Amino acid sequence: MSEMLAIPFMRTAVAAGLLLAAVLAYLGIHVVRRRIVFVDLAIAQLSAVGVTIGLLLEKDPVIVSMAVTLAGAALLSLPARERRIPQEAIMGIVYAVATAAAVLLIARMPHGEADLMNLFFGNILAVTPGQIGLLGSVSGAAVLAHAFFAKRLTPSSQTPEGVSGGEWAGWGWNLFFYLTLALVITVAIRTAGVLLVFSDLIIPAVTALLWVHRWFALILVSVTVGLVGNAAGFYASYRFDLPAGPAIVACLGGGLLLAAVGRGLARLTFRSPSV
Amino acid sequence: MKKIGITVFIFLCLFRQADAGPLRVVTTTEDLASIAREVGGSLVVVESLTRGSQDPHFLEARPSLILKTSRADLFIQVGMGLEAGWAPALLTGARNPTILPGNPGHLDGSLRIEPLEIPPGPVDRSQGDVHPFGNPHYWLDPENGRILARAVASHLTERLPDQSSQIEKNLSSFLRRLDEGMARWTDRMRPYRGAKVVTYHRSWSYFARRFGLEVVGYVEPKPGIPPSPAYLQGLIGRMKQEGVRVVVMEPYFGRALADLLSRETGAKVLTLPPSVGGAEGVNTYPDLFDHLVGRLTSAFPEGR
Repeated sequence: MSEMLAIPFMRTAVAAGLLLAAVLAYLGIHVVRRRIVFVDLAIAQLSAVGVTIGLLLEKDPVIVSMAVTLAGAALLSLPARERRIPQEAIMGIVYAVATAAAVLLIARMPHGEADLMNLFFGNILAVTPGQIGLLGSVSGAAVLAHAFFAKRLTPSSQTPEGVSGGEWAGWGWNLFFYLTLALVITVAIRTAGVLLVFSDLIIPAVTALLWVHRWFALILVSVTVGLVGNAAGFYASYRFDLPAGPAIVACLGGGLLLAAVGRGLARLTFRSPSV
Repeated sequence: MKKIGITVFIFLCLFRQADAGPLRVVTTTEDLASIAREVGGSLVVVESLTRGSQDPHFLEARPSLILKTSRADLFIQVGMGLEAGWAPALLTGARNPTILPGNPGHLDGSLRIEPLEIPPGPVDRSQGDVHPFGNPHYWLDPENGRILARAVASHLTERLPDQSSQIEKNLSSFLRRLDEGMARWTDRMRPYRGAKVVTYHRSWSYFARRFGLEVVGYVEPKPGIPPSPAYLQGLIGRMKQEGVRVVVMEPYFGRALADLLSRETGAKVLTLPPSVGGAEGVNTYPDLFDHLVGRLTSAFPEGR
């Protein structure tokens, strides 16, 4: 471990990875409880569409992309009128249609290539100190805002049905949540790529939900799982010379599997108390 | 006292040797690595970041690749945007100022050769920012291999001025082998001069120009964007009309579209490695052309 941290680029990558893991593991609890797991993929593709629109309009792609992503997140936060249609379906549709739109837009460009979109997605090993600064300030601001408004925000995530059932009163908090989430995810994807961000967001939260119930316990366990999984993944990546993102995802996945098996065994052993 | 003096002298020699060591060269592709090995000989240790069987447009960074780059004395890349998706991040991560663009440890081969297919007119953002400098697959013309070898030699001489005669010797022996190869390849390709082919992407332009093949069309006009039905229909019509017998593609693309063209027109799909290491027995830069010429000449029907 210390050998790995003696290498400057690994140090930067691990710092960025752990920062990302902690913030995403916290946001992930909101995301999983709200049943909007695909929100991250939808936001990733919206930002890719934004980049292609920026290139077509000859405007700064980063700014156009941010505008498109935030507008999309605001639309996603609108309360669903039809109860039989889950929010998850909307997320999946936005993901698919945005992916298609990006391909169609690139097809209109004289020299466009599909890997143009990939240029926008980062790799955690190649993180720059500047990116850590941006990531730190955006996610720090988001977490502070969440902590400040926790009393209003937490209930809206704990009973998402109450909000998405058409009550416009709760919509403001919904919008606030989606905008902060979109900001963090857009920056995170540019630092670490879609695969790692999705896993950092969802896997620790699901692992925590297997074992604990109370909100603060959920946050504590989720963040711990995220940090440990990322540290283990970085070590495996260094030790066995593997791409870092997939190595971390594999460690998080392995951890979830262990947690699930452990939960099953615990349920068998102490049948009555855990029902 | 004398003994100690000699021992110290020997130690100093050993240390100098270890310090000087062979020059560490890191290349983005195996073609560049092969050329660097030929020119540098025992003066260099060369490692390529991508394998010849991989699409050089994509590379997932691993810790060892960044580590290699951080310790390199000379970094050689194809340029023209070929590695734009990953090399800049790798160079940033490596934090090795000697090999950054503009420094003596950085060689961008594309600045030395004469590019094909530079987009006409002013290049702006709307054109996708991808290959605005022209087609980057220039190593598939052995004449550009000569230019690359000379560029590598001059960079090595700059770093190792004491070894200039050795480098010069290696260079001229490599150029002689390329000359002999060139005569052989041109000879074998001569009967097929003007033969019409369709290629998957625009990656065979330099090869086709050097050996007199005519590229009639592309399976996927824009990499990663599936062709439209009208485009495919037009391509099939053109292939039938012009009598295209061969569709050339790289091993790492999906075969579905090429097979469709083959079913519709009876043309043969030929999977050719675009790089050293991309097929069994293709271990050096000259091997690559022996392999390509051999496979192509046996794919064309007799006499044409």
